[in-house]
Amino acid sequence: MSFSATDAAFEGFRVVRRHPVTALIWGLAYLVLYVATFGLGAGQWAAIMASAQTLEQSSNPSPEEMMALGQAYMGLLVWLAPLGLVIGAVLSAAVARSVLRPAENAWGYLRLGMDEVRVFAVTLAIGVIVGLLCGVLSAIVVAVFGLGVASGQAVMYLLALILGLAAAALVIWLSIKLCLAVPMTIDRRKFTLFESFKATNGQFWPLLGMTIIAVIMSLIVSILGTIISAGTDLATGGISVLAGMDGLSTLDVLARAWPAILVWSVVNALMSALQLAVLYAPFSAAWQGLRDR
Amino acid sequence: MTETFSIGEAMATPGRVIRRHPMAVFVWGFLMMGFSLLAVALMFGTLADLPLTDGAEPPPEMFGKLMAVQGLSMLLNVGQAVLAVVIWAATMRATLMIGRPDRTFFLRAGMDELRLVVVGLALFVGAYIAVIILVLLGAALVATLWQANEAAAMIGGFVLVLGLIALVVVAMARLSLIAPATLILKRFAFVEGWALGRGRTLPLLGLLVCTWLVYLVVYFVLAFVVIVALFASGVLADITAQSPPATLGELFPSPPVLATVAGLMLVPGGFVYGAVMTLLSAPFASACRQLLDGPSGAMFAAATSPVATSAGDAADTMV
Repeated sequence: MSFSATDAAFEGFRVVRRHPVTALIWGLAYLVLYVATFGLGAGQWAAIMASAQTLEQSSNPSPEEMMALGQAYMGLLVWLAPLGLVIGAVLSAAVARSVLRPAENAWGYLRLGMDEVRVFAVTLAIGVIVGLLCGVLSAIVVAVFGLGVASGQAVMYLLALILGLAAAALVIWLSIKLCLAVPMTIDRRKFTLFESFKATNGQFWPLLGMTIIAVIMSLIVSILGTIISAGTDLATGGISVLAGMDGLSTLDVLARAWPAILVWSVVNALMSALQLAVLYAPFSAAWQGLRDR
Repeated sequence: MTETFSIGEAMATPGRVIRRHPMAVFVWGFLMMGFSLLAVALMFGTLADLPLTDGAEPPPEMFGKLMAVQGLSMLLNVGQAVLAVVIWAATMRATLMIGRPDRTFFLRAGMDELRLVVVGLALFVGAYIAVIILVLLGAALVATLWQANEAAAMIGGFVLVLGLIALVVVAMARLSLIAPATLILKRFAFVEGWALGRGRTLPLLGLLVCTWLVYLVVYFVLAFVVIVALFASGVLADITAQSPPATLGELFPSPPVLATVAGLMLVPGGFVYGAVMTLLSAPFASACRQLLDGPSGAMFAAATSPVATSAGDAADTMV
């Protein structure tokens, strides 16, 4: 089997068609995440919604209002980010497994073993590498722009723009060079990061094209989700009803808004599962094609 | 790849499609017009109570209605875009199957349409990003020049704007075969569509210009006919003679007039709209078919199976 960028881009749909129940199980995993998020932090969500609404309605938001929203988010992120990373690693591993080892379909390909630990480590490593690169490059661009502002030299703006574009290109290039790390890790059952560089040699443009197509298809799924959410929000009021419950305890918020939270969680869980398949499965299909050349 | 396509043949294709499939052309336009009219009716119908007089307070329920209209407008925009893609695919399908009867007027909702949505979005977003980057670069360049010589910066800015417009037009011509190639080859044909246009930028530009010229002529003739009809029927005089409306609903003409306008827009208007959509897409589908049927198209023959090839392989074959 050879690698076809346009064919691989559709792998997510193929995964769902082969095992529709798998997508439902992934949706269930997301539902657990959402229910945990609201179940443990409905009060914090109400505070976030209220702060966001205040900011929206304010024509000139004050630093205090911005701080209130930031603090509300941080309070939630402290325990939500690690949980999200773990569930993200489990789901990424499941998607890669569904393409590379289709026979292991028990539990919708979901496992909690060494594969998941390795995928967690690889994802974290990629996040740190790309994040650090983004930070350093942004600092350089901002410094050049700042020099332009200080000196009044327009040529510095041009330089900052060119540097910004080059930085974006470099981040995209690095992301594409590392995009096969997760599927390779699942396939080889060992921590694989920089081997992705070699595997993507001579395949940058097809892989970039495949990524763009996958992102657009994921966007289409997201638009469909928005349409469905609009209908369900009309029926239940949506989670924006939480904005009016700031100050209530988590139990009180849940008692009053559980239909809206449940419907929102179910719809978004299913849509997130579909987006996950559409966005991640192509990279495993690409690795499968490149491995078997 | 020295062979080219016939611009005359490509420009004759819309006429052939309209002649052989008039009902399909009418249905395409009817659907688009019907959807647009329905959207307008829903939006303005919901806001009919909106006061237009100075200082008048909207009724309390108007805020909720405005929110609903905002959401509805978003959904209608998505629906209209999807419908436009379905009809775009139908016009190209009819062009490629001229004379063959089709019970659904060449309208489908399948993988072809999904691929065209992706192609359309990719080209639109890609072009948008490219234009923003070029405008930013141009602005920074002109600002740099301005500090050295203001006159040179003005001339440079003018040249850059003209250059950008020319670049966008050439890019539109060069990219125009990607969508029809995607429909014909039944896979994403970014590489193949781009490769088919290689060395044929001028003929494609000529085709694009011809299409726009015919479109402009049709547009101005139609606009003239509509304006004359509005004056002759007295509708404009009727509207201007009315006292200032108190609400948005009072801006609308009487129901019989509205029904007549809707009828005219749906029946003759629908056919004209369908014909215009055919005019804008059929020439490129025809050009793509001609090129794929020629010697260079034979290079794609082995590449039509999506499983057996890769985008990169196809590009290599073309080169």
